[in-house]
Amino acid sequence: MDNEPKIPKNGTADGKTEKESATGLKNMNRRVFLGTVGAISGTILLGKSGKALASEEFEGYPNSFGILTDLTACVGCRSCEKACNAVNKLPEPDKPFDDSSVFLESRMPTQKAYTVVNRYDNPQDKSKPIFRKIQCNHCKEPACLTSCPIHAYSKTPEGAVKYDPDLCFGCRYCMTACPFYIPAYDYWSALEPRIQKCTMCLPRIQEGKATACAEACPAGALTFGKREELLKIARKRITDNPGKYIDHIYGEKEVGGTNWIYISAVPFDQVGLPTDLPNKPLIEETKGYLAIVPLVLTAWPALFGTIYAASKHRDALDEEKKDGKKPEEVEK
Amino acid sequence: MKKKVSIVLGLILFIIFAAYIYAGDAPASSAAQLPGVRTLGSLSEKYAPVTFDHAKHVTIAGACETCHHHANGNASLCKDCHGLSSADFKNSVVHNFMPCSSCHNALDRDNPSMPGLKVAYHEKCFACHRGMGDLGSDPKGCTEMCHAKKV
Repeated sequence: MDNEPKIPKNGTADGKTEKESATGLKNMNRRVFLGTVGAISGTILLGKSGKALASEEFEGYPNSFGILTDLTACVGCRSCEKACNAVNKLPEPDKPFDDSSVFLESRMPTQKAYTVVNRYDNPQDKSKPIFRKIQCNHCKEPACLTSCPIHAYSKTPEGAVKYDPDLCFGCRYCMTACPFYIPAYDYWSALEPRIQKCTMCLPRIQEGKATACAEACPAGALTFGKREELLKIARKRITDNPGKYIDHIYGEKEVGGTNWIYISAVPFDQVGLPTDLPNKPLIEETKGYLAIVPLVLTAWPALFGTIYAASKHRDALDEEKKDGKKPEEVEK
Repeated sequence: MKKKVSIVLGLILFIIFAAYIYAGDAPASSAAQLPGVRTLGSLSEKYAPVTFDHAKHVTIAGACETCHHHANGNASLCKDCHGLSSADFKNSVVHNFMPCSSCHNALDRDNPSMPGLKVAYHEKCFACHRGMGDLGSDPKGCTEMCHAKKV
């Protein structure tokens, strides 16, 4: 019970068939949520503290999928945006997908577009600007998940960070927790406000397909496959083409690793990716604090209760002294 | 006597065969074998087929291996590509040519290091057609230069 709230416990790593896991995810969330509540209350009752809420070393699901973005290959055709829009049945964009004037401003994903492509200057060759597709990076240990009070997020064995709108009550903690500023809020829907973000095409992956964006990409900028394979491909491209890439795979280690990884010819901060992130999952930053919560809840009542009882006892003794009786007689 | 005749006949056959193989092995010396203008339409879905002037690109690229894999320094075994299927082998012996689609097919998520046909085609185009003002900064270049958008 005391090890229940570990993050990676969500999802279906128990070797169920794809269909089973697809239908089981929702139930699993509820179960994990209830389990977590039970575990926390159990922890408090039993007075266990410390490691209960601490995530242990999590290497990620071994066969999870990912996408490798090769920033040297993207030509900014926005086929990925178009495919994403169609697959997720998102509303028509304000400007058509072949309108290059969108590159004049820096865009972020919204509730109407789970992915957008931005243009950046290429310091090496002005005539070849760099384009970067922005979307959820599907962290191995996502901050959105750990910030969510009711586990509306889950990390699936397929690699996708899944969001369950049925559980979400709209607190938007995930929006502030995400180091990439990805979750977007549907402020326009008054009755059913929802977080919107890239789903990594989880239903398509479960059908045995690749993500819509990777399938649409004509330039070879998006490669879909097992994350471990992609890391090998990325490393091979860097070693096989000396001077073409900087020697860094973004997302291999950042915030504990992401399932979406990048290689680039220019430093990643020049294409808008934060380079000041720790290599540890962001939960590591808050883990110490979170671990103290049950300690406070269990130790403080006992501590103050004892102090209160002791002071009360002393008062009683003082009273007895005034009356001239011996302490032993008070007990009787 | 019979023996001599069969040796001479065998020699003649060998020379014809050798000449045939040699002609097949050296496409530059027999320009008639090279494709001229080709229509690449196997992937055509949202865009019209591409009319590709192979002859024109030969003069620009200079060498086959600028675009094609063959003898480009990857010391893989002949059979790795030519032995994929008996049809591919026959094709490559008779025409000295293997279509890209022999290896590059639909996207295979279990083999991510093998680019799909769409990526294989486009990567070759983008190797040159970027930063030329036609592609890269303006995606519209795709439909103006290569394949018009289907209505």
